[in-house]
Amino acid sequence: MASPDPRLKILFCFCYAILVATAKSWEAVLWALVSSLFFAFLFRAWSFKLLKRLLLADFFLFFVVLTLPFTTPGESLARFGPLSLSREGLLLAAFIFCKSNAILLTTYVFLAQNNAFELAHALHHLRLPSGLVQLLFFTLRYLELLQREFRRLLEAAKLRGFVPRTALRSYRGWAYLFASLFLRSYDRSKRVYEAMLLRGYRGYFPVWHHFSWARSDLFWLLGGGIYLVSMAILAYR
Amino acid sequence: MHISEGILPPTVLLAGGVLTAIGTALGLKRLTPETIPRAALLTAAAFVASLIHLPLGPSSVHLVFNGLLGLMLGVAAFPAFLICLFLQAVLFQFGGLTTLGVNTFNLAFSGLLGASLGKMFFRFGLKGVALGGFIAGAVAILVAGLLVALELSLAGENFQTAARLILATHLPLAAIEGLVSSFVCLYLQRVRPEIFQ
Repeated sequence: MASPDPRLKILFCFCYAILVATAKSWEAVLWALVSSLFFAFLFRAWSFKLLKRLLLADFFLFFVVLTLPFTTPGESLARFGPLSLSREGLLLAAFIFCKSNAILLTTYVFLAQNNAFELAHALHHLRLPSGLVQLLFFTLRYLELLQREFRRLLEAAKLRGFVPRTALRSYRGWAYLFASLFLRSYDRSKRVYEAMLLRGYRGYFPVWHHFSWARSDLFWLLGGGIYLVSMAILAYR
Repeated sequence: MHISEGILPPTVLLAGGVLTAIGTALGLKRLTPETIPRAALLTAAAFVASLIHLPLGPSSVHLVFNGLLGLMLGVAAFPAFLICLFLQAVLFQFGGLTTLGVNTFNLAFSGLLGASLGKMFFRFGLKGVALGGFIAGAVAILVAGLLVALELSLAGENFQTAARLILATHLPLAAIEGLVSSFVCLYLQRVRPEIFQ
């Protein structure tokens, strides 16, 4: 089956994320988690990369999930010295952990596998301010290029004896590398602007290709709509 | 540090969204066709640089560059960070979609605050630039950490331990960010002072 229209995917992910993040009931969160796992199977998103992503993304969550069981008052399950592990705290931590991972998984399935330019383009069609979409396009366009540039700068610095270490001199070395990256980006932006003027740039540029609404999108729209309504009923009951 | 999904209460998420929307609108108003490519390239540079992990003892840290972007972009730091964080949420699942507003506000507002404090020292020669750069970088991180801790403690009393831990991790980060920002400002002021206009 054809993959959903990128505009639909973005809207769906936003609504889904808001509903799940603000949900108050366990039913809604479990339903969200089960369905996000199902989405991952449906769109064949399972991979080692996905698991690694989820682990890395959960870093902030660890701070919260590891402290909550000890700081939430409630029925004590176990004691570690002055710390008491509470049932309510554990449940709250699990609640937040499930919410967060359901949203992460769903955004990964629907958005991370897309071409980022396609997403930027979809945002343009969703009537985001033109300045913002242009910033997004330009940033995306030069991200990889600048990444290569930085790698080159770093390699050159290493050849000249730069050693990354915890030392003032090493940090100054890093700072000069970052500074020359900023400098090069700044200078490049002038050339980019001039090159664009040459091609008749007047503060906007035409988009890559237009989306056409396929028949399968009606199916996705209906399915997604019904799903979101069911989620909303569960979440705010 | 980016706050992840599902932790903050809806009112905080909404407030963050509204403040970011205002900041972004103000920032976009300041961008002209000429400055859009400049803002985008500097944003991309900050994005790339923030992916680099610097060694710190046995561990490593990455910088945020919100103070520096504040110095270089002014209010346009709001749309710049909105884009950075959108890309990180969508491509790497860092942060999140519902926390986009809150996280953007934390970084852009603190960056602007740090930058406007730091910039006051820029007219006192290169020493002033070094000091101003340090202040911009360090204040930006400290304020960002404070905002994260504040928002987290609004989620409930039991979140305060996590908030304190997170604030504590921002202290060494602020020192390193300040140091690196200071050297970056010195370099740029010597070769291309108009970058801070």
